[in-house]
Amino acid sequence: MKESAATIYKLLGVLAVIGLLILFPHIFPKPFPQHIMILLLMYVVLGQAWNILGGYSGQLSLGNQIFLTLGAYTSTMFLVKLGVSPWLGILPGIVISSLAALAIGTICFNLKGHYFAIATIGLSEIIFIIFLNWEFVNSSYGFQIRFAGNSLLWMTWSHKLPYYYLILLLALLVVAFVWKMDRSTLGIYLRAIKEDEVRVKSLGIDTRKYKLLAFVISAAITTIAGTFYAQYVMYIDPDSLLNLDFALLIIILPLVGGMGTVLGPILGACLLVPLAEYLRTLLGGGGRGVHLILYGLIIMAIAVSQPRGLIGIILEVQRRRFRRNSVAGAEEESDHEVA
Amino acid sequence: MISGQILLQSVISGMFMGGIYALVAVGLSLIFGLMDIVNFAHGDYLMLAMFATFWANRLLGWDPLLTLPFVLVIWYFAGQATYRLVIRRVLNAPMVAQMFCTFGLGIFIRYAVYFLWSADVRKVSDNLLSEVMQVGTVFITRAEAAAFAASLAATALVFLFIKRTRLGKAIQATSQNKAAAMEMGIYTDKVNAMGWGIGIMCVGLGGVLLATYYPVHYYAGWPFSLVAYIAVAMGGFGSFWGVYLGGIIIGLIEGVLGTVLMPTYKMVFVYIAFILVLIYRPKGLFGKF
Amino acid sequence: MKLLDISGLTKRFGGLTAVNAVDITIERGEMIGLIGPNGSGKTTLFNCLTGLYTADSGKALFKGVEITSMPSHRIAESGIARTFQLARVFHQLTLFQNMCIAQSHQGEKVIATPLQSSGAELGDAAHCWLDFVGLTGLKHEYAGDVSYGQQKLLEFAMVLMSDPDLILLDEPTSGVNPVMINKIVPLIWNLNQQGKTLFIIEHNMDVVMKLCQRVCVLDYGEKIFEGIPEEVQRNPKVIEAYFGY
Repeated sequence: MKESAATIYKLLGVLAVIGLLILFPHIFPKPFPQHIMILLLMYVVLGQAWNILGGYSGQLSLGNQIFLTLGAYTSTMFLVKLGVSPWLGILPGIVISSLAALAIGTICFNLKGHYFAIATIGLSEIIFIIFLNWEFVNSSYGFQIRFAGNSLLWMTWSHKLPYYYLILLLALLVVAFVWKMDRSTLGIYLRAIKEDEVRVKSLGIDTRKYKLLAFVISAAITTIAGTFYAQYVMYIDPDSLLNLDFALLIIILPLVGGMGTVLGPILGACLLVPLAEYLRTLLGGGGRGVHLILYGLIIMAIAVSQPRGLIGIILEVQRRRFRRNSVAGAEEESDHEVA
Repeated sequence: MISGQILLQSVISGMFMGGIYALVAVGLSLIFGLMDIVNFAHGDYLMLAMFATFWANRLLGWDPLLTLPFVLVIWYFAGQATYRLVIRRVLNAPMVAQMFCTFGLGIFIRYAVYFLWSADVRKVSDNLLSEVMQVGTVFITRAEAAAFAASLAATALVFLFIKRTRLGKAIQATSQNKAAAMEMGIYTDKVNAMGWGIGIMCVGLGGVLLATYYPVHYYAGWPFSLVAYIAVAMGGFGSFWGVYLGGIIIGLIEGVLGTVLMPTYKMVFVYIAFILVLIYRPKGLFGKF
Repeated sequence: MKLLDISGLTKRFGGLTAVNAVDITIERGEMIGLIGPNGSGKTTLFNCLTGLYTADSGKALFKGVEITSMPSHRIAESGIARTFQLARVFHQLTLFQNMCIAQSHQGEKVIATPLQSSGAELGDAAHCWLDFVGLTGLKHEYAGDVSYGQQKLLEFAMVLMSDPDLILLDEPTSGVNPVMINKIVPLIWNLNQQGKTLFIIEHNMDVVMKLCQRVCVLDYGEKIFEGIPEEVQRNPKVIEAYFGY
């Protein structure tokens, strides 16, 4: 009885949040808050995508911006050179990114933790240098996307509202997918792999295949976000996509929020993106980079006290509160329910 | 066809740069050997040393050679402080937590510098070492040569310290087997702190020397960090001189292949070499284990 | 055909030879013990058999097929299951989920996994084995929250899930209180009665005496003796290995 009541409350809660998100741009019709929310939602998508590989299976990749870049460039080049709508341009992007993910994963997955991370940084740098000098992709000049009127077909609009709904839709789909995956066979396998890969192998599971699957899914989602990014910002070049700061942001949010959980990347984004904007407005031009100083401190604090991130903190608080009430059964149940 | 002279020049320049890489890598491998932690903030301490040299030069008119002893001392204590205040808390944490910790530290340092001193690129001008010398057909700046010599000397000193002195042996013992070292009465905590001190001190040395001929800005340390990891991986774990050689090799790959093939792609060769080594010789080129 | 045929298996680590030209054969239905002082190479042998280590020379044939250089998951798939000295279960997952990972994975489609509800096809087998070890009531607890003895039992249930032909048990009674030992030993006996072949590393001589038909003794990586338990107890070489004289 108690369990189904809790589930109904959760469902209502989720619906309420979705409702608010849908109404948001009407409550705040100014472009600036809409822009913040668009960024936030995009980081939720990017964070969830990273989370699928990094958070769940423990392979910490610092190279997801590669797929963002591949997505952005592929759809943009199809648009600019072949006149193909970016919606269609997403597909070749996904194909290329998936192949790249398979290649990178096959070569690099046997590398231990920190070395995998470093190898992905190396790969990102390689691609950066190549793109910077490759005429086919316009080297360091990049591409400018022409405004094609308010058009769904060409994914360009003069105001933020449609972009907002687009990214909201993507974010909701991705979160729903990760939620489903969390409870699925793959989710369990990945979590087991993260905890003890050798043990998983000795139970008959070819861990490589599952890690590759997670990587490909992660890459595909990031690629779609890349197309969105290109259409929103309407200008892409290697520097804005492949610089290390951006790469860091992609992983900081899910790290702080909580790796390997559905809510983690969302919480991380909800905390850190508005924080950054707040600091920026508070300190103005002189406050450049301050939010990153803060991020650095927050990451260290989390690493030292609660590596499971905000989700971990919330679970701890819950655990202590229930211990005080000392109802043993409720304790286990509520732990299962939060994430 | 590349002339022999240009080739020789690129070999020498590459080797000298390799000396700096090696110095940074040696510091990194000391920390890694002791506590199995990859210091993602390593290059940022290098960058701080470069800035210290720049500001001492600009504000106090000091030549980098004058700043050097101060940096050595301060950086030694900075390394110890970093260990005691931050690193110690994640010593027994899962690798993920250790990674984020030094990662976050690096971000903090870089952006604090960015905030304080902006993204402008600085250069340390007129110092004792900027004179260009000609040895045979090769041109080198005194700075480069001094940096190489210093890196070699410093590494040799550290090596001797580790192998010959009692404290050094304590460090060796702790790297090999922490539990056994503790049972033998070695205060592994002090040893760890010392390892950090020496490691960061090496990086500080590298920074001061580098600043004499290399541009200074908040991201300057990062490529050196990356190269240091590569040098440690290539050189192999447990082999000090292997790591040093790894650094030199990287400098050579960068310099020679860069000049001979495509200068803009020079780092690409380094990264590719890195990935090849990781795949085919995961124990490193000279690793013992 | 012998179920497991190990011949000349050798594994070195740097200058140390952990397993030295070991020959052991096991027939179907047997329950064989593997004993020896600490560091004699027993666990290393198991690791070579299950693909965690690659042997330097010699070979191991399982059901006539060479498994010496096969990857771990293929070896597991071919019918060998193994427990570890320190029970290795997944603390972050529930007992039920642990069983889900332990089931046979033949014919599983990788692509379908993200959308399959976990535990959808588990049912009978999982319940059967959890019952066998007496853990059914705890199936939704996280493995990290139950006691060590229960984790050991869970590990048992997990190795049985895949219906293996050969079960390698690495010190099944270590770290466990006597009451629990009295639960575990009959379980193992039962398994053998049901026709399972077992290869057991043990330090507890009582357990070895009670369970094993034959015992192999390793010392410094070499097999120094093999025989029935009573013979082993009396053999001078074995006594010397354990007590040094």
